[in-house]
Amino acid sequence: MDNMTFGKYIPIPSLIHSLDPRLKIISLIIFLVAVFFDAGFLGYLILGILVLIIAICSRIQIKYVFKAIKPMLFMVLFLTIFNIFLIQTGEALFSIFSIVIYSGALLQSAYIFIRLVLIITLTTIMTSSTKPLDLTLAIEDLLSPLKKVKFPAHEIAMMISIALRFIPDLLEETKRIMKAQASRGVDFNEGKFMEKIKSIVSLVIPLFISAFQRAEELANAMESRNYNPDAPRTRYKSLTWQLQDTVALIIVTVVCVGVIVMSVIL
Amino acid sequence: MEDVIKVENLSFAYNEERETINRISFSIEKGQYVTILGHNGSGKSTIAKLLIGLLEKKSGSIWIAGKELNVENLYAIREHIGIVFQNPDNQFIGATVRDDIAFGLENMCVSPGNMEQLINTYAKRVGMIDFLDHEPTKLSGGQKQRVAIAGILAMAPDIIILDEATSMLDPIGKREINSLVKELNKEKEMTIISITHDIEEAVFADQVILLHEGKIIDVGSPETILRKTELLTNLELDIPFALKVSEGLAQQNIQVRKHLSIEKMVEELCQLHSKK
Amino acid sequence: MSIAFEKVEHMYNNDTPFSYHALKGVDLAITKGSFTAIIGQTGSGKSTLIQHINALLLPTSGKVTIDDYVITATDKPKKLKPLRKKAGLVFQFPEYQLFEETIEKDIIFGPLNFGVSYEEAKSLAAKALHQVGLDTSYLERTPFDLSGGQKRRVAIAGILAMEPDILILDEPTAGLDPHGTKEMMALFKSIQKLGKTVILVTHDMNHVLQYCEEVIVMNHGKVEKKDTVSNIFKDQQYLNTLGIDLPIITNFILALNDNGFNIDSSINTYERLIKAIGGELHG
Repeated sequence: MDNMTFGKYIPIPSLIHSLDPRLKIISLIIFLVAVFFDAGFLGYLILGILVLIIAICSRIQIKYVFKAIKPMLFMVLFLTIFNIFLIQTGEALFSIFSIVIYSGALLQSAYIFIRLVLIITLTTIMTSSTKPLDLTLAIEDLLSPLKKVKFPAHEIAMMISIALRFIPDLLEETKRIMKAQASRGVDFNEGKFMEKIKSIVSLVIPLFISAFQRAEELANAMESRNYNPDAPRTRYKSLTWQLQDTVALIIVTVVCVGVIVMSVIL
Repeated sequence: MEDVIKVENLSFAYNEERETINRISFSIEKGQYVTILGHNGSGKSTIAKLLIGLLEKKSGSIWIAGKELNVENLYAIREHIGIVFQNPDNQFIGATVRDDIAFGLENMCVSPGNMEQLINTYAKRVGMIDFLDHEPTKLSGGQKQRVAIAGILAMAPDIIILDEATSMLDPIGKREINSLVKELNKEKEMTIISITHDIEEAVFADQVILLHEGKIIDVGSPETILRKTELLTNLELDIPFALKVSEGLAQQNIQVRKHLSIEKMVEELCQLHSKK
Repeated sequence: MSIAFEKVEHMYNNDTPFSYHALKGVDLAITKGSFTAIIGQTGSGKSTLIQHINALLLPTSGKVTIDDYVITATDKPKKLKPLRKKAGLVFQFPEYQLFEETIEKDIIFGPLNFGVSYEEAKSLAAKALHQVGLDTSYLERTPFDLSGGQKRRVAIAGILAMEPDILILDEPTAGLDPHGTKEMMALFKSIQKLGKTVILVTHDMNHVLQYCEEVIVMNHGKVEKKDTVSNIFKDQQYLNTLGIDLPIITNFILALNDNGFNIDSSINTYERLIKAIGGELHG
């Protein structure tokens, strides 16, 4: 549990780390859109180079990126192979076990593989180079225009930041309860199916109860300090958009729009 | 001295079966240190929550700093009164000490430009200026409670309620909080309401309120209230140590004054001893 | 059962950059049937130490002996399960481990895990409930309906029903009111009188004075002292360096003795204190 490196923030000074998190979210979204347009291998090469440059600028070591991709790799390969057998466009090329493999299938599957790898890589770089709380601020800022239609942008951001704040506490609590139940003879590793269920119940119920109690006490504390999400409130931390963010946005937009245009023309 | 809190015929019930708080009345003067004593389940925490408007009274009235507490002025009144709860983790909202103190300031619409200085001021006052960027998991219970107090000070209240705020702390943490609170009471004339089991703490209060099953059994100075040892025992409360000693000696036909403070008791016994 | 630690070291997260040396060269023997207190500042290693007694933690090096069981770093979990029964460990705020629909079901959970028959577990539950001062009408109730103090007693009953020979308590009276505290400590003393070894981790020196015979002092992962209660409280200066205050009675006696009295500083009950003062003032 302590080794969750997938997407975990890695503090290194880099260009990408210093970019505004709002820019990063917007860029990611634009990229995700572009990735699904079929601009041929040339298009994916261009997008791939973009991701590579971003990766280099982030100074995050390649091994961390691989570590993050690894759990996904299995799923990605499975999907790819699955598609190879399923798609039936293009020329029939050869057959395996009496299933015909088409050229279209190979092509589409290759695209799927490339798309997934690009998306996962870029997302990982983004979460590794941005503090979770900064991401939360960015989400709140980006969603705040929706407040006009009563969308609870602030509340969502508050929920995310409180959840983040309590993750270490919840992990500690889990360990504590496991130890308490182990002291009553629970073996979390061994046991028949029914015993294992009972073990999990003896962990989950106390966790839930304590979580609810925690939530109630926290709500009381917040209210006592006059927290009122419906009333105006100021914000201690703010994000500052800089020139480098505008430049980065232009580059990403140009490349991605270019790829989309390519896909339409070609 | 004017009353900063006035409660009249206050009643509250969590459910229909019984009244948790049964028509209580009391008043607290500005700058007083008041302890509310009662066994677990006597309604002490409920009173705290009623005073800060977390619970809505069934009947009666509550006046805080001269204004009557009701649904409309709830937020305005809360600027006068802050509360520190028992569990140091479950009132720590921010990701760091800095963020947690800022939370209160954000609620009060302080402009972001002024926040930094205020955060520093209050962190310094509670002795946490070197820990501004620490996460709560790296802090001791006593430190977290100090941050809670800093967050409350940032709202510049007149009254601080401590709802068994030291019961989950180790002795060092208890000492930190008790001395900080005593300082605030002295230098800022901060009215303190301390809900506690610690009878020795009550010895030094300005006023003691005895609570039992939602009713106020007695109110008065520690000198009056804490000397009613039979009453305290019936209410399942401790008796101050010095008083226990004087009562025990009385049974041995040795008459000593019923001191509340241990120092005074030691003094008197030594005087008696030297006279022999 | 006698308990012995020999050169026990414990490192959390060994082999990682986050390793933490929690126990350093602990050599210790706890007498069977004694009521022993473990004191020390937060972070001194008390929790880590007691978790070695019921083998929740294994020593990184060194060995722990609980009667016939010898525990070392290489032991397999299966071998250690009986120890969880022999040494019942009650964590702080144990009411948080309750989870069953009825109190009876929660209390029998422990014994059932150790292979006790359902019928016997139920009778053990009734007995344990009685021990903690609750009557059998509680058996069918849901544990979540109770007050905090009552829940705690149910949780402790859950450990007592396992019939441990050693009872380890980590700050069992934290958050209880004076009355609840007295009842709980009296319960533990009565358990010791049944012949069990009771180990109490506490910050309350008044309890140590009143109920315990021996004291282990921990500091920064080491056992710095182990002695009788009266000897430990003779060294006020040492205890002050650890931020530990003397019990009220002992402090009082020292204050009197500083001014001409001559009272035995090992007195540990209020009654004996009064008698001694009376003696000095009368005669």
